[in-house]
Amino acid sequence: MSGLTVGLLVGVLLIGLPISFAIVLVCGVSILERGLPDMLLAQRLFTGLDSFPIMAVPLFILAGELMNESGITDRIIRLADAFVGHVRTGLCQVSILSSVIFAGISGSAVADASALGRIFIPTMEREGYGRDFAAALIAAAAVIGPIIPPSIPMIVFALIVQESVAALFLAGVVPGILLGVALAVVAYYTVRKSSPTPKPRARLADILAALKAGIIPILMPVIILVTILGGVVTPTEAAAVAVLYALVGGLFVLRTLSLSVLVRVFASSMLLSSVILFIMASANVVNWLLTTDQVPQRFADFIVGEVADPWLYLLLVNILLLIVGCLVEGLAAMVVLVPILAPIATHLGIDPVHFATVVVLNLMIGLITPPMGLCLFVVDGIARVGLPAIMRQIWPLLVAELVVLALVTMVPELSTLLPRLAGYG
Amino acid sequence: MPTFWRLYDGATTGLLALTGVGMFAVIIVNAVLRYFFATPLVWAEEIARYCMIWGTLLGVALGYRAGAHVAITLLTDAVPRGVLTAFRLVCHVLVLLVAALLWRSGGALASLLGMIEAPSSGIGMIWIYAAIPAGAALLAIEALRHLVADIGGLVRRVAP
Repeated sequence: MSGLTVGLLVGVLLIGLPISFAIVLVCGVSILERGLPDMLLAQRLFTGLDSFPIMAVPLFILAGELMNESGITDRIIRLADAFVGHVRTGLCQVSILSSVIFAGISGSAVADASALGRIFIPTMEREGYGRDFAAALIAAAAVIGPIIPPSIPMIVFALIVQESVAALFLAGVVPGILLGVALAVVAYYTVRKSSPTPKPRARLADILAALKAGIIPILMPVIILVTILGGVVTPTEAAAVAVLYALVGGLFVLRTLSLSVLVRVFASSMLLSSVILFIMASANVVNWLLTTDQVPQRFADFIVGEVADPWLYLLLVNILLLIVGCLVEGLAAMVVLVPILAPIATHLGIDPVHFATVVVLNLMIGLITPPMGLCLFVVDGIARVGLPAIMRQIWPLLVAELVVLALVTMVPELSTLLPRLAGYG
Repeated sequence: MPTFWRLYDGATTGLLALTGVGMFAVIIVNAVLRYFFATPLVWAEEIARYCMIWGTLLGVALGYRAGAHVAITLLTDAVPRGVLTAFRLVCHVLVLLVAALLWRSGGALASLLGMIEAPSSGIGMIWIYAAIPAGAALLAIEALRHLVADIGGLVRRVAP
């Protein structure tokens, strides 16, 4: 890419042109500039979309939206409340545990932030927590969403490196729970003094009732994992099974879904997926242009010549991705960077599942770092306190997540043990 | 909003929902046929994929209508309202340009390779490649609607 095209890209991004359109524009100009055939832009976009495994992305989004629409969010919160509601800083703990449970239904942090933020930000404010803190906590906890399976970025990563989706899903379980624990501890010590008097512990009968009401959402991740791991279905089909499960649950068990709601949810889920899929398709064009310029090749030669130590490489990748994650949307960054970074990791003897977990965790933390922090936008859309106010509250939580990232980077077993036990790799 | 645009929005949204229904239905029916009856449909995977592709291109245009696309707000949050309006106008024009690029490139693809038949369903690829120019046309319509609305707002502010 010439200096002109890079300048054009930065310019159009700054004035607020959507990222996917900016990429298409710049790649289109770049293709014309090189005198390549017109149709290549469309063809590369098309091949970026035309894949069966990618279909797991819209289907998992659909399953999550259907679940959310059928009112399971309230049931999840009730369940979390029964277990941790009595702790000091109870509501904070409830919101974190709800995020962990919700993560098993939805594969996207943005969906979690918006579903839980709408409920928790006002409630936390009523209990005396600052609205800025509530927004920060919800945004930080939403990062767990795409780490615990199902996970859209894990699917995308698996597609790029031809790794097993099931292995990557399993790899995220422990790091996801670690994130929850880290946030719980930090939130406890941050707001312990200003939190209201704890309420009494829930009675066993209440806990059982909450479990019964919450059984539908809790079973969803179990079904997804069991069907994929059992080799019964492909991840895409598992996602379709999840949609079916959500449909049956919402229509016949909870009876909260109606036909008009279904049309709306199908349309809104497709809209949401198309935004993600189009970013991926456009990143596929960039990827192809970079490959024709042999950028990945030259970069790999350079790195392999300079860095021989896998740990040093992981450190460098983490630093690079943290910077990139601040500026670029995570999935687009993955589609462009992973084909460059992953082969070097394999060359240095890093376990691909470990590498995938580090990359995905890192880029998902990028969802709460400005200026390009999608979760921050979502919670600010609800709390309306401005990004700087949220940033002032979020940094201890951000540090906690970075500590988890460091742990996951340094202890490969945290991510590789579960997949290995299940017979992958 | 005039009746025409209400109908148009309803129809395009319904179509988008339909692509999702098609994709889901074909995959789930095929999974059931394969697992329980050992008679999978050969064309299922392909048709589901094409539903997704049409859905994505439709969704891109409708997403622009809804303001659902991901953009960087670092600068747009900081500038005064007048500058922001100017930015928005430039963006709409740039989106028109993007639509033109997609139209041209997608049209070339469809006319060059459209006569090929899809391997397992036998559908002419032109019907699938056509999603790109069609999506581009819808995107251009949405950009024009935004442009008209924003310019209208500007005119009202200048001459109340």
